[in-house]
Amino acid sequence: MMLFRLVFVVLSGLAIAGTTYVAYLGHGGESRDLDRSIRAVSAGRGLNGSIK
Amino acid sequence: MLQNASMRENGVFSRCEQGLNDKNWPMSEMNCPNCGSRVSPAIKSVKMITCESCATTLLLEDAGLRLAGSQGVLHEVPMICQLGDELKIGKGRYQVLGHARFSYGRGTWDEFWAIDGSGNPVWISVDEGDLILQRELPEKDWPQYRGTLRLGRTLRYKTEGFRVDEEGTGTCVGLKGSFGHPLTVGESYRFLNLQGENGTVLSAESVGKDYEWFIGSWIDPFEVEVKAA
Amino acid sequence: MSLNPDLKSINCTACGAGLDVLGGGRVTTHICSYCGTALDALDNYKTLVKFNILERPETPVKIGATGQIFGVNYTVIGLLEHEEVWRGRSWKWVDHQVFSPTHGYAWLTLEDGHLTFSRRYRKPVGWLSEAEVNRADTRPRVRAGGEVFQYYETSTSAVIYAEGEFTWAPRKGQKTTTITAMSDTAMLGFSTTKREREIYHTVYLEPTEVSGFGLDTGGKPSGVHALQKLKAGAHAGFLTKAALGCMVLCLGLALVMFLQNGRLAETRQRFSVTELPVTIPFEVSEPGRLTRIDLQGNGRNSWHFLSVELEDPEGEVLFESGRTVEYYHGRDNEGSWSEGSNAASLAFFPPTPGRYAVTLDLEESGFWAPNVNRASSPQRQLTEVSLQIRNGVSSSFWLVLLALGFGCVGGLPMLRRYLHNRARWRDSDWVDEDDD
Repeated sequence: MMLFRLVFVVLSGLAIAGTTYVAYLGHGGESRDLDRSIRAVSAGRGLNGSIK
Repeated sequence: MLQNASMRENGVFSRCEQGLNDKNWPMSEMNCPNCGSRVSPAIKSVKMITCESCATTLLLEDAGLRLAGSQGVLHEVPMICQLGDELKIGKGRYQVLGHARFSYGRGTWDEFWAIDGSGNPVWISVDEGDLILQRELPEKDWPQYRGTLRLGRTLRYKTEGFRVDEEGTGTCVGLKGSFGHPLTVGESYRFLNLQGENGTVLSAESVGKDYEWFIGSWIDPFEVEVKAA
Repeated sequence: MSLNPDLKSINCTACGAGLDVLGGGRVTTHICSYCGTALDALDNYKTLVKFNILERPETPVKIGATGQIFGVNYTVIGLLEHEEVWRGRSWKWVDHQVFSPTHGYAWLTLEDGHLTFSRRYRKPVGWLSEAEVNRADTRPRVRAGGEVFQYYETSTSAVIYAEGEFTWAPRKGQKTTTITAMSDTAMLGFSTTKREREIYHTVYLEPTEVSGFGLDTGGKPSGVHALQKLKAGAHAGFLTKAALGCMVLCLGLALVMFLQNGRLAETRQRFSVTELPVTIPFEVSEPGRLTRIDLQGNGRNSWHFLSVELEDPEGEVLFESGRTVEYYHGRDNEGSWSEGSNAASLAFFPPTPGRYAVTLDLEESGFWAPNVNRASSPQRQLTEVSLQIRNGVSSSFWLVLLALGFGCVGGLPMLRRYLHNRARWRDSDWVDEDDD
C-alpha cells in the first residue's frame, strides 16, 4: 500500500522536475509558423540546382 | 471519639481499623455474621453488600454488619455487562459494583449500581437492549406536580416537558455485589418512567408514600464498551 | 434478557400449532405462522385478529434464523411486508424483526439485495413533520448526534403481511407516514401511525458487518442504495490530495516560468519606420535556450505586417516569417473600447552560439474605420517600431499541461464521489421550488 504511494510520489516528483527543466529551457514557447522560406533557398540557385 | 463520629456519618464501620478518607482505598475487612467469611465493601458509600459465600445480604451500619435477607436467585442469561466490569459510555467510565434484578410479571429487567470516575454512584438500568444511565435526585431537586402521576400525564422539569410513558410494579428477585442503599429481595415497588422531549428520562420509584427520583438518559448498547472484570 | 427462561414455546390458542418463543419480555403480539391468528402475548395468548398467512412474501431470511450484526447475535422473530402505493405504482418490501437479549429489538430490511439495519432512536432530536417539509423552500435538515440529516423523502405505507413476534400490534392496512432524512452515514425515519410517533435510525450493512441469517447464498445487490457508502479505494484520499498538491505546485512553477523573461540582448531597440528594412545583430551564448523577439508598433486603427528574417552566425537564413501589429479603438453607446495590443512576438531555439542577425521590414499596412462615429477612431500610421530580443526565455506550456494532468488524476476520485452521491440521492422526492 505504501509502495503505491511511494512510487506515485517519486514518479510525480520526477515528472515535475523534468517538466520544469524543459519549461525553463523554453520548450513549448517556440513559434510554430517559422518555416524555411523556399524563396531564400532558391534565390540565385533555382530548383533544378543541387540542394546539397 | 470525634473521629468515630465523622466515620459513622459516612457509614463507615466503626470498628474499621484503617481510618482512610480516600474513598478509593479499600476499607478493612469485616466478617459475615452468618457464615464468617470475609466481606470487603469496595468503597465507603456502599450501604449494602452480598456475602460471596452464603446466600445472604448484609447491611453496613455503624455497629457493624447486619443480616438483611436472602440474595434471591440470579439466573444466567446473556447480558451486556456483569458485576466487576468497567463500562465506557461516552466520556464516562463506570465501575459496576452491584447487580439487582427486578421482575415485572412477564419478565425481568436488571439494574446495575456503579461508580463513575469521580466516585459518584449511578444506576444503569438494562432491559433487553434498552439502557438508561441515571443518578439519584436529592429531594430538593424532585419534580413538582399536583395530584398523582399516571400514564400519559405530563409535567415540566427544568424547562423540559416530560410525559409518563411507562408505569408498573417491580419486585426484587435477586441481588449480588454492593449497593448504595438497602434493597430487599421480595420487596415490590411501583415505578414510573417519564420521557422528556429532549431525550432526558425521569424515573420514580415508590413504596407506599416513600419516593425516590432519578434523572438520566438513554444509552445505545452499541456505544457501550465493556472491559471485563 | 427479560423473559422467563422457562417460556420457550407455546401452542397457538386458535389452531394448536407449536410456536417457538424467540423474542423477549417486550413482545406483545405473536402472529401464528400456520393460521395467521394474532395472539396477545400479555394475556395468555388470547386471540386477537386473523392475518392472511397465504400471502407470505419471498425472502431468504426466515423466522428463527440467526446471525450476527456488528458482532452481536440476533434472531429473526418476525416478518412484515409493507406496501406503498403512489400514483398507481406499488412498492413492496420486507422487514424482518430481529432480537438480541443484550442489544434489544431491531429491523433488518432487504431491498434489491441491499441490507439495512434499523433501530429505535432515542437521542435528542427535533421532529421533522410533513407540514414543515411542505412549507420549506430549501431542503429541510435536521441535526442529530453531531450530524446533519437532509430531507430524503416522504412515504406512506401499510402493513400487508405479518407473521411472528412483535413489540406492538400490527394491524393489516394501518397506514404509517414516514419522513426520512439522510446524512453521510445513516438515515433517520420520523414515523407517524395514527397518533404514535417514533424515530428510527437506519444504517447500511456492508457484507463484512453482517453474517448468517441464511444470506450467504443471497443475490448480489443491484445499483447503489441510498445509504451505501462509497467504497472509495484505499488510495482515493491520498491520490486526491497528492495529485492536487502536485497540480498546485506545477501551476506555481508555471507562473514562475511565465514571468521568466530571460536576458535582454544588447541591441538598439527603437527604429523609425523610415529606417526599415533594418538588420540588427545580436549575440547568443546559450544555444539550448529559447530566444524571443518582441515587436511593438504605434499605429492607431491600423495594422502593419512586419517581416522578420533571421540569419544564423554562418549567414544561413534560419527562417523568414512575419508578424502583424495592430490596434483599434473608438467610442460607442457603451463607452470607449479598444482591440489589439500593437504587440507581437516570435520565439525560436538558436541552434548554435554566436552572432545572429535579424532583418525587420514593413511589408504591408492597412487602415480601419468604423461605420459610425469616425471622429472617435482617428487613424494613425505606424511611425515607430520597437524591437526587443530576449535570450534564455522560459515557457509555462508544458507545466500547465502537467498541472492539468495532475488535476485529472486528483479530480477522478472526486468525480467518483460526486457521481456516487448523486446516485444515493437519486430517489429523493425533494424538488426545489425554483426548479421548473
